[in-house]
Amino acid sequence: MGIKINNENFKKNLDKNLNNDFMRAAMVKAQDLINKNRTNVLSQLGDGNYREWQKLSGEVRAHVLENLDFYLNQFAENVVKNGGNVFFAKDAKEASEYVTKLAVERGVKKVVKAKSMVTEEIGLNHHLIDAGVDVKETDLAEYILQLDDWNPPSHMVVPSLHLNRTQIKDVFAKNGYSGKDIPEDLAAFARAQLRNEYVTADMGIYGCNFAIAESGAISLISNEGNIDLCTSAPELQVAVMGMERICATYEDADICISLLARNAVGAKSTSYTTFVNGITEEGAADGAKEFHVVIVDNGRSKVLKSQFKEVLQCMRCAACLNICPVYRQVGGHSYNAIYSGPLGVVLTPLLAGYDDFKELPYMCSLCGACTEVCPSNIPLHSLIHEHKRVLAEEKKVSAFWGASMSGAGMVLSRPWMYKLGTGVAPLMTKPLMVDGKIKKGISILKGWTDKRDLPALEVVRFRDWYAKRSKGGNK
Amino acid sequence: MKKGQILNRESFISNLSNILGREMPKEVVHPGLSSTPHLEIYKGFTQAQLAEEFHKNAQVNKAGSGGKIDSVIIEKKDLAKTVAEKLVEHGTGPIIAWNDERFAQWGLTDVLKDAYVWTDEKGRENVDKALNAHYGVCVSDLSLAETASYTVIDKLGKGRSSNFLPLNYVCIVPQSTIVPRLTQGMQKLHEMSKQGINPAAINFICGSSSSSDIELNKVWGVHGPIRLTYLIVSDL
Repeated sequence: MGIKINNENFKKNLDKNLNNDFMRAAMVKAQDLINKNRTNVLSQLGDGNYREWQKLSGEVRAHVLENLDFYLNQFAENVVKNGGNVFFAKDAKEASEYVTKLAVERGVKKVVKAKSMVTEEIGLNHHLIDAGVDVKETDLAEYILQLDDWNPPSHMVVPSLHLNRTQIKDVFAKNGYSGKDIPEDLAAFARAQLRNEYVTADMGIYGCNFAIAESGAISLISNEGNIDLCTSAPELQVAVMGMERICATYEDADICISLLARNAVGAKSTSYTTFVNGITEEGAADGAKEFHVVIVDNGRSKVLKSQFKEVLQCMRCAACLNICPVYRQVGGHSYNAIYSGPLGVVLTPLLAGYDDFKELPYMCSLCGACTEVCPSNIPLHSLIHEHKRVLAEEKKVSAFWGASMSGAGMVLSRPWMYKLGTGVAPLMTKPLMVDGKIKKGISILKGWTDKRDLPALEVVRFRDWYAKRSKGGNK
Repeated sequence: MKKGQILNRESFISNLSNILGREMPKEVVHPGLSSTPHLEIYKGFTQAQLAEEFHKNAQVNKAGSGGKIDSVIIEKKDLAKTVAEKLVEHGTGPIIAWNDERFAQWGLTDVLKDAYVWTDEKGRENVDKALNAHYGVCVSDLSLAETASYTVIDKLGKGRSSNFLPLNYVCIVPQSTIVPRLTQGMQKLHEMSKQGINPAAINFICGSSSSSDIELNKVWGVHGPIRLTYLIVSDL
């Protein structure tokens, strides 16, 4: 799949999603539920001083980025000490080819795979499938999306959020399910289908929440326990991680993990917090006999060099999605990329370029709610603002937008022009008036009037009315 | 490839060093944390108080799971009787247990006489037994009060599959293993790592397998155990 999830025109895709009532209601429900639980559980963290934890987390993540070469090297050395192998991949192609070659060389027929954003990003599944390997996604949501012909994820933590239970039932029915659209029954069907896969798979693939430099461990956080099963029976195991997902020490990881579950799902902890350290003991009946870690750059080093480097502190909790008023309205698929919400707005153009994603920075009201909640202390809304600046000043992607802003700047900085403009505005908008309101705007007004009416502009300007009132006129 | 290889390291790391504007340092001094709120949680609590907190938090998890998670505080003299009760509480069926001498030391030999004991020499048979087990039994190596988590540290005789495949799970939590939170768990892993001990897997577990992926409805037992019972033993 890669970062981009479809080739539709951005506006067309957005319009389609805005007309998906179930999806939009699901986003609202998810935000309300997760935020309520998140607020509750954060109030119980120590003395409830979230800001202090947020600052700490930001510090430990920033420290790693400042010394990323050192900590990645230390981590790689320790993976090898634990009996594993490390492959540094400069891009998606290198990473996917390495894992696929490994699978082919070892005669792997079946892979059980746990949810991982970076494996989505590098398009790993399709590389493996093209090589004739049977890939089984095991996270319930990813399993649903795979059966639904690789429907793309719409949320980083709950990827199938855009599908309702009836749609899921229909997807399962094509694969032998004959029950009703009851979540417990649907989950039981998935359980029955997947349990045997874990113990018969030749290879387990999973991501990495945080890699621990001081020991070479990979930490994995989940509620379902599917990741733990992927790390249990398969003899050949591969962890794929973005190069920034490092914590220097276990103590640093404690701070980050303490915030991850609370922000991601509104719980003190996920059911399973796991650390994997390479191959298992000689003679063990299960566990990895061969272990590989693939460390992926894929554009991250360019981000590290840029004014956007703080976005690499992200721990993929989705707290920013869950608070964002724009995401609430448009849903994950409207971002046209696997990374959605404020994180996606910042990260996607950096990893995949502005050409296909120049609209993303405008999917933000700059309200700053994402920055407020971010457990990694990333100034997300400032980075989005920086994207807008780059687009306007350096990339000059929209001649119309640039001309509009220049025009506005010229008018607003010259009082006589401002006075003239506000004086003639009621007259200029008169042709658009219906029943005393502007119902069908043109150009920049259209975005507003498509959804609601714009009140008529008053003939008497506010400052004229106020000046008159101050002199004892009409009140 | 050979075992224990690192591929493409030089070009990858030197690219990062260039970006960071210097050579890769030989050592980095960790600046330490600017504050330590994580050390304040349950600070100064006795083992008995930590056990109470563990139990309290397990009961919160019980309420949140519709009873799928449970915990009781017992004494060692009641352990065999309680384990026997818990191993039939949700019907009867095959049992799998670790190959752990503590079971005998604690008088559980008779209760577990019909259990399949994980025996690494038997290879994949262990995994198949775990797949079909109705109950699994384990002992927590380290227990976290804040989240009511038990910990299993990978070792021969404690097969990973036996921890994640049985339908129902019974975990014995010796009170002496309870620490305030993940912080102390991480301290232990740090100390072990400093001594060159990095177990192949360390699992902190605080619930049964669950998912909210279908319209955000919480469902239990998506992959692994559906029910989890902690037996907190106050004099172990």
